[in-house]
Amino acid sequence: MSEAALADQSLFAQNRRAFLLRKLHSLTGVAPVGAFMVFHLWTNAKALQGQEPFDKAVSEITHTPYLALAEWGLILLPLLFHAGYGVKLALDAKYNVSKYKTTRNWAFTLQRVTGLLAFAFIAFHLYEYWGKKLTGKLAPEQFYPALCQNMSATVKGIPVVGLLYVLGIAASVFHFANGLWGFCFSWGVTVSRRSQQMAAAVFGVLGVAIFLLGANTAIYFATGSSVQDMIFGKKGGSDARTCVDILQQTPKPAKAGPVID
Amino acid sequence: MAAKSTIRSEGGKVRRVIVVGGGLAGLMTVIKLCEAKVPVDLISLVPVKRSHSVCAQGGINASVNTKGEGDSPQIHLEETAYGGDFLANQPPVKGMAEAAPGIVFMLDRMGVPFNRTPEGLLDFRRFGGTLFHRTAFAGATTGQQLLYALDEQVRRYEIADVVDEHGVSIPGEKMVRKFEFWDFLQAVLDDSGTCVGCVAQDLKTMQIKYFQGDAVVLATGGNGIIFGRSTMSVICTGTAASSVYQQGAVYANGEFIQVHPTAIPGADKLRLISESARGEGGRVWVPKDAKDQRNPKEIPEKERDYILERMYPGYGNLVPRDIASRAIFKTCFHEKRGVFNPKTGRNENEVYLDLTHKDEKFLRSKLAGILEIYEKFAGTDPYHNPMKVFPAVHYSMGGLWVDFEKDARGSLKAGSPRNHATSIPGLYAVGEVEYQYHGANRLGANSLLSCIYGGMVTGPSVASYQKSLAKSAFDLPKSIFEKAEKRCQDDYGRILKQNQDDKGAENPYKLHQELGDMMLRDVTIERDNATLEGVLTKISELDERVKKVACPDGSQRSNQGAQFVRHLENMLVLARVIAQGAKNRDESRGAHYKPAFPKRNDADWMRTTLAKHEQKGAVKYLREFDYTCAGQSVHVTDAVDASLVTPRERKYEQAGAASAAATGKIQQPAASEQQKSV
Amino acid sequence: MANSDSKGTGRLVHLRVKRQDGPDLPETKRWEEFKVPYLPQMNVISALQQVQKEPRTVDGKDVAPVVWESSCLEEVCGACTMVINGRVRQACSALVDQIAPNGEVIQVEPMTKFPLVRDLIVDRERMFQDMKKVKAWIDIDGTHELGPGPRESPEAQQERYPLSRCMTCGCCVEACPQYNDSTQFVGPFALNLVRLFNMHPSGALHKNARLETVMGEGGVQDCGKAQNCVEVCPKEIPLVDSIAQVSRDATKRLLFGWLLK
Repeated sequence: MSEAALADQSLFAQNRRAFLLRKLHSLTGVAPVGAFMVFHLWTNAKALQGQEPFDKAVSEITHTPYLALAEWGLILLPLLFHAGYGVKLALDAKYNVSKYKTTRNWAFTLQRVTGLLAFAFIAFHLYEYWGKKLTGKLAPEQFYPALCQNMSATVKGIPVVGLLYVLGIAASVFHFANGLWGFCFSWGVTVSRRSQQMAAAVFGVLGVAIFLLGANTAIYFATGSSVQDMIFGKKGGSDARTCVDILQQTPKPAKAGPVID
Repeated sequence: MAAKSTIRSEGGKVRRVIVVGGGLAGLMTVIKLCEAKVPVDLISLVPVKRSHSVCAQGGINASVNTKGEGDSPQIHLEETAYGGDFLANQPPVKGMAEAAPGIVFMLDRMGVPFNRTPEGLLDFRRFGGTLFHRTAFAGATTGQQLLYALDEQVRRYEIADVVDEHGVSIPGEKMVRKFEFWDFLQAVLDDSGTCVGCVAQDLKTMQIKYFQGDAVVLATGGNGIIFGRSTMSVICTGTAASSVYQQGAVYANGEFIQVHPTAIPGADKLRLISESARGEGGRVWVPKDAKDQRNPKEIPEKERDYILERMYPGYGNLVPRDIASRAIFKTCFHEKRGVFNPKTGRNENEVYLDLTHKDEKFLRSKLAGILEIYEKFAGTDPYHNPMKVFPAVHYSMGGLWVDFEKDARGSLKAGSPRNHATSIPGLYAVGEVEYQYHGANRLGANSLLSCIYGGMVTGPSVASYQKSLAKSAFDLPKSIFEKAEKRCQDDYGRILKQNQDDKGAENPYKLHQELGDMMLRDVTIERDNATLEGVLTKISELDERVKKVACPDGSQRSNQGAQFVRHLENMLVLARVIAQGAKNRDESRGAHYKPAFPKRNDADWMRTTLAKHEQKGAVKYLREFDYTCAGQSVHVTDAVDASLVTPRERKYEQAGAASAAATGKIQQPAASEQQKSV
Repeated sequence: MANSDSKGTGRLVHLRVKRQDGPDLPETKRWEEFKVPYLPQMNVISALQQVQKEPRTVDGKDVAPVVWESSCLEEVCGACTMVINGRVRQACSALVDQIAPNGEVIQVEPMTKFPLVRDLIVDRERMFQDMKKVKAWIDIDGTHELGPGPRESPEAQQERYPLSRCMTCGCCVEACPQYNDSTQFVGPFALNLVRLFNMHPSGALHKNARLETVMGEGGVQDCGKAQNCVEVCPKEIPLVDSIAQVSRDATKRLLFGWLLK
């Protein structure tokens, strides 16, 4: 192959497809999927202030112009691509962390395990809320009470769904943070071992922060108090309806598990 | 009348040449053949990238003269002839010395990561037998780096199409076809005794099959495994050379076996510590007090005996290998002054090789490869502790006899089909398997050079031989090849079946150990006729016992046992050639040293030992013979062509003695030269 | 003339070897145990050599000698790679005193990523084929005399030399979870060669052609960043740096190569 012939090659040339696909996979993981996740967790955190601020945020989103296009084109399709291709990748690997117990090999293994977990979790989560919204079974203003009720449901005193959410968020956030590290590696941002180590530290801290942000909301929905409430005590004075109010008003469902209707 | 096409046979087949062995010499031959548009079948015992050439450490000689020392090919020639104690025919040596700078530049272009001077030029270091900085090097794994460079170039030809006279690609035919994990069994000779192919065995499936070839080039390396443990790879059994020797090829100077002065003793192998350790300033010493029990670092300078510097002030630690090995042997065996080991309470057969006075960073950039080996296998840090080393069998100067044709300048005549031809027409030999360049003792860093130069000569030589053929091997009746194939299959069948029910059958690995232990003990640094007589008797005994060997493995897959039995049988044949040659030669020359005949005797023995196989157990030593090359009869005698450098006595006590004729002076002794490079 | 073997120390070396008679004979897969006399400075190869001399298992059964691949025995040819005590390495540099100082069992298995030939022998042909695929060579015009090669600084040589010490032993790909039957991944060693030849002044002239070879199926994108390769490389080649560098170059070429046309 001559140099001239090479220069003619387009981005989509057949012999580059594998590379391009993998690049797209890595890119979609960071943005829009990852970025959306952070945005979503941030929006959800407004729940801590009560239903009104939360509903307001939800409403803002639901009244975005071209919402369907954005939801489908910018989030769902990239997510599906990322997940689908990711499952293939997870299945392709021949795991050997039991033999070679290095940090990076653990990260490699966990990246694929958490990817699969996150996939299952997000599918479940999407069905529960977004799917029901689309089919008209759940109006946006019903999200808040539904979340409170679903996530606080307990089996033998354990808020199973809430716990599931904390785990799901943990998996997703690990996958995201480690994915950012991988993104920097495979896109050639961090070439030296030193820069890779620094990136690991930065994304580690970032990951913990995002996890706390997301988990706190889940804990709030599940228990009625956020982590800071538990530590510093609940601050009164807000007029907004909170989870606690909702749970006091509505009798708990007799059966554990998500509310179907 | 030569055949019409050199690409296709009359029958329309692609005419190929067979190269056996994928070390430096074999690969260079392949490249040269491909450049001459001759397609090649490359047969190798191991993937070529794992050939024994990877073990070469120190470097490759070329008198590029970038250090302002006035080095030149003429000096290189003289020092090589002198170091080889005037047993080498000089025209090939001249050709090699003159081609050397070009070879190193070629390797440089291939991307070999040679060490550099601050201005980005090739760096050169000192090696044994010279005072000049003549050795280009890539760390201390030069052989590996050179082999990889050639391997990469050959890989290009693996994907290149064979092109016919009209420039049209022949579908499905590549310039190089590799057959790795194939063991060479025999040459196929036609009725006139011309080599027209070979038979080889696939070591995975054990399939035996013939290969047709207009010529066969053996580049199968040395035979150190005959000595049991040596610095050589386990594949260096000399089996291919022995096999063609038994088919009639003349074997030359077999008794000249190089013992390298510095290796790490080991249970399975004696691992080399390159001469470059001394080239970069390493010093060999033992404590003056033979019972000194102190840590070597605590022994003060004045209580150390730097044996080589004391005995040979002219060249110090960089005397040629035969001399250094003998000095260390004498110190340990005769004077019992090897390093004292308080645990065993005796003086071990070890001396110190000390680099601790050099800066660690300097050592890492120039010697990391070997110091790593020492660290891994001896378990001590050589940057801060003197290494403990002892001589080990390292190289076979002798090998298959090969011809040369000289030009008017006294160098090799380019393109002559006689160059590197063995006494079997159509069979060529190149690299350590032949005897041509090193005389009685090889200088360090000349082996990589001789392999590559040999390949550069053999390629064109074989190409012209092919052109001279009236009939291609591919047009000969199949029956010639099938007969040879059948013979090899029968022999393999014999190995598998013989003595299987015999309770007292011999184990081939144990027999080999007996052979190796004896050869190592009796046929290396010091030789004695009575002992050698015993060795020959013992070899006869082993010849009988090897017939009682039962193959320990009956498998049809990767049967290494059967392969080893075959190699062992062939090793015994060469062992006799070596031992008998040593016994015959009543003088001391280079690596061959008999205390009973301590002087070189040019009047009677400045001649090539020419061994011819008679039958199992008998060697005939020739003074002259005739052979046919490219249709012409050539008369060969055992006289050494010393037309370029007049033989004189070796005097490494005097600095510059080895190059005195070319430089026209004897330098004043300078142990300071040794220190200057610090 | 060399030191004679000191025998009769009474110490035994205990080997446990995974064997199989041929690729098409999975029913012959078995473990066999051997005890052989200890020798000073013994390595796994010399232990196996002792088995050759007395091929008898600990149960007193006479068996065919174990077969394995070896050549240089000083860790520079790469032939004797096998899995020893669960970790891939060269058998020649696996010293008994280090891996079994108190007579522990030494477990020896063939590599798992290549087709088995017999016992400890596998077929590493895929690696050599991939060296063709990635154009691991300098495109010289011929071996005729053209004077010296390009000048190079000592620093550049010191960077290139360690990369050039790869002996195609297979450790990196054996430990790589991404190198297996379901991927065509060329592996860390091949990517390292791409970097090596792209660094050389003449090799750099064909940098793009080489990069293209690792942007297709099995290319650099298949690196999963588990980084086991660099942990097991016996020659301590900075394989991860090489992969990161090639990743960067390939990414740059993908993103900007066609724009610069």
